[in-house]
Amino acid sequence: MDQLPQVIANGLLLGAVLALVAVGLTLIFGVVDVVNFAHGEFVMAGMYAAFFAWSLFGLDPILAIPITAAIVAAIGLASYASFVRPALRGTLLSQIFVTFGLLIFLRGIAQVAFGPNFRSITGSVLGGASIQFLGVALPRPQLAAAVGSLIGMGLISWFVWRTRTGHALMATAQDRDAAALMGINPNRMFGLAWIIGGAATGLAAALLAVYQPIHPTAGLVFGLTAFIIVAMGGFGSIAGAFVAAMLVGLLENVAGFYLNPAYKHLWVFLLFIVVLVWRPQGLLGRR
Amino acid sequence: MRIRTAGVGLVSLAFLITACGSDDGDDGSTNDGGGQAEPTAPATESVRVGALYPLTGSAAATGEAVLHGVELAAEVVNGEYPDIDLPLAAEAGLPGLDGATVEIVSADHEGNPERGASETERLITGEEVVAIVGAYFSAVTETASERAERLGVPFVNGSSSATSLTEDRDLQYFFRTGPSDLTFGETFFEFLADVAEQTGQPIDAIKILYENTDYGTGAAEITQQLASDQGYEVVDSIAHGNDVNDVTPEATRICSSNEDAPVFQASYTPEAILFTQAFKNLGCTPTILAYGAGYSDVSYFDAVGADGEYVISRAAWGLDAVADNPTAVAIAEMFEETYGIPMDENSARTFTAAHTLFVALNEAGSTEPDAIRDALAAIDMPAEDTIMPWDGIRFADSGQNELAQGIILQHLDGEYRVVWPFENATADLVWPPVPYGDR
Repeated sequence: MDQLPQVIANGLLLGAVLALVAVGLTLIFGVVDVVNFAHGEFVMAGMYAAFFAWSLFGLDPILAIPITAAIVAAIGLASYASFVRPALRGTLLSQIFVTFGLLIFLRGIAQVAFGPNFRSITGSVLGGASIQFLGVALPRPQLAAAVGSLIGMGLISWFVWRTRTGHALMATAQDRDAAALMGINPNRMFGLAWIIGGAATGLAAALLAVYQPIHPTAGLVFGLTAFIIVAMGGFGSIAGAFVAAMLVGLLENVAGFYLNPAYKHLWVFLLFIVVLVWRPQGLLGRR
Repeated sequence: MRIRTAGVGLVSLAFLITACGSDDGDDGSTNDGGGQAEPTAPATESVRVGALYPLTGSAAATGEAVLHGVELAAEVVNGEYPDIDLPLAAEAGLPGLDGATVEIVSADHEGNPERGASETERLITGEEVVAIVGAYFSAVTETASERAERLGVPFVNGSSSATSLTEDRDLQYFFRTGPSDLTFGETFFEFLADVAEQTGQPIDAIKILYENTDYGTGAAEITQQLASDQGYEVVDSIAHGNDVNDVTPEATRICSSNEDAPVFQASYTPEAILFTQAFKNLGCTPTILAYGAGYSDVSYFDAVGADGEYVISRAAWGLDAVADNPTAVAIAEMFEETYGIPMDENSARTFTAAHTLFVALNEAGSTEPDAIRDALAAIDMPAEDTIMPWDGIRFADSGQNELAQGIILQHLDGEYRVVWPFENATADLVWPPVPYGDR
């Protein structure tokens, strides 16, 4: 029992980071109604951006956040404008294939451009030390990622609920046609969703790059986890993504520590199935 | 309309790029007739040998390095290197095959066992290779060698250590030059007994931490078995996944009790990095006894820097261990000059597997797979004809080289040094390791 505080702390930190990774995905789905299968690759792209900002210009990842956020936002907007927007006129299946194709494309480009080797950022101001708090070790990189994540989500929530443009975004999410009748340009809102979603993902990527190995297939596990969180929390619900991410982080760590760690993901998937059966729209989902 | 066309064009380009990235009929043949020395006669024939490794995916860096080991062996055999005292180095090509040169056809299994099997089939039926070396991941070596067996083509393995590959199967066409994890496990426990004696402090408990495919589970089973045979208590045995982004619960478990118990670990590179970071964050410094793999990988040490010091690994090879063998040193230097990365125990093992295969090819004097297979079974190479710190190469009926041995290395001052057997040690063992916070 004496490890419980540490385990819970680990879970909360992990959850906060996963939440930020998932929030971009849920925003895009909520507004545009498109599942971005390439989400994990957006994270990977942001991590590479952070890595090169560090290795070429000596920028600490914290300072590189505006750069990575901008780059992934640009990738998001470019993806929307070129591939996704035409596919919106097509069937759901074609939309799925477009973002899946984007996944393969980005992964392939990364492999060709950067090679398969692992990159790591060493010597960040955050790097490799822990803060001791009430007998619990809080690793600085993960702590910074969690704090950054909370700030990022706070900013997005503020934007979405407190600004006119944000309201327009939510209106488009709620009912695209009614919003259009009110004079809101859905195309612009979609683009905006991809930009904000991309920026959030870029922020998460910069924070993750401090302590995660960076390589072309790094996106795989983030993408999968983000999907589970978004589906469990409710597609389109930012608060839902946060709650679900916390649950995933806590469950992984608590079950992983007290039960067999080899099955730590089993419990997450079981929870996922239970939630979807009991409440198909997700914990805080609307539809 | 233009954007859509551009989009379609880009997507097609992407598919082309990804297809080229993982297809290797083209970038595999790096050793075409003559090598770098002047050929004595025009190379009339070339013998195609397949090399199956993970060239994309998370182990790609290791895959490339071990492929270079195979390529170097082909280069040494194809070219004229009279100063290198290895069989087939002095002449160009294979004399037993009228000077035919070896052509390496590489293939990428992406770390996927099914793909390993299908690539094996493609190499044999499509690329017409006479034998295959591969495949690093024990899980892939298993399926790939089974496919080769069905097609009657020899499969020589240097770098996969799962014991099940030779102990639990009855294959005629599978040969492993390197030690199995059973040998390595026995090496570890002999080492532990010696350490307890030397330090005067008994060691009676261990922990096991392993990745959950063939390699890790095999190593864990052996460790468990040997531990109980020799009276050690296994305090905790934890499996972890590959390509995960977080190992905190596993690391917290390891750090939560019995800090002195050494941890037998079998993990690949990304997880090795994550674990080292996690241990450091939690403020504990367990004694790591690694079954190679991730901990043998240069990219691990590049990533963790000083935190990689004092890691202890079993190995089949260390530059240190062969420092008094000028041939081995020459090969290691040639490797580093040609490929820009130092030779490690993984590339040394694949070099040896390939070289052994070429020697057998030469002995067989034929490109018939059965003749090559028989030549491999009959091989008896003395230690001096290899670059390894073993007793030689001779295969038991199971296909296992019974003369392969393990040594124990510790990472000190930025490189692996031999610390055991104590008589052959080139550096003093540091036990227990210096805590992360004090480095």
